[in-house]
Amino acid sequence: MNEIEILNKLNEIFSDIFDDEMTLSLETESSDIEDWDSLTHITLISAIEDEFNIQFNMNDIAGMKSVGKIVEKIKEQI
Amino acid sequence: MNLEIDHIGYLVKKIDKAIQKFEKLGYKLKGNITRDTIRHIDICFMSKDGYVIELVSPYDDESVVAKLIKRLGNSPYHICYKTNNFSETIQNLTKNGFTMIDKPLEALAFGNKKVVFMINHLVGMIELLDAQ
Repeated sequence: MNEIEILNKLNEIFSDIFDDEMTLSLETESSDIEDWDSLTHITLISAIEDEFNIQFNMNDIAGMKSVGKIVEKIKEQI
Repeated sequence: MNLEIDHIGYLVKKIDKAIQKFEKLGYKLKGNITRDTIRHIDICFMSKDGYVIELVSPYDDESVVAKLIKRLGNSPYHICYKTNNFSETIQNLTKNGFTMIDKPLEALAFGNKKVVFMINHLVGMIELLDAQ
């Protein structure tokens, strides 16, 4: 799975969680999305883990506050 | 994995006034209001017909539920399950798509027994309580 395919899947996940059509880029950060707070972050992580059938390290989860970082961590496991 | 429902967590903005309203519905207060300085919340338990609710009220914006209550208002927001196999259950749920919000910590409201909050994107938030 390449970066574009990962981004497309993340677009679907983010759109579902935030109930809004999202167009993400690798530069999108949590501060760019008003409702991306600490609890929504864990909800996103749970959805990403389910979708990609992976599990993130708890220490990594706190640092995954940008789409680029999330893509990087997904790529490490698929 | 043997999980037993312990209580339903209920966010309230004004815990003293909420207690009075729940009493009108027939709930009885169990114990006193406890201030959990780790989670920045005030907590108390009330029961009715064998069901237990936990009223949770953030006392400042550092609480993890401070933003949640702004979004949800006064509302139920988690179900707490107790288990005799705390670590094993966490591992099992983690493998099944539940993600820990934080590491397990002692909770003053439960006599310093360990609790952990987890989220699944399809289920929402749950709490696990170490029953041992």
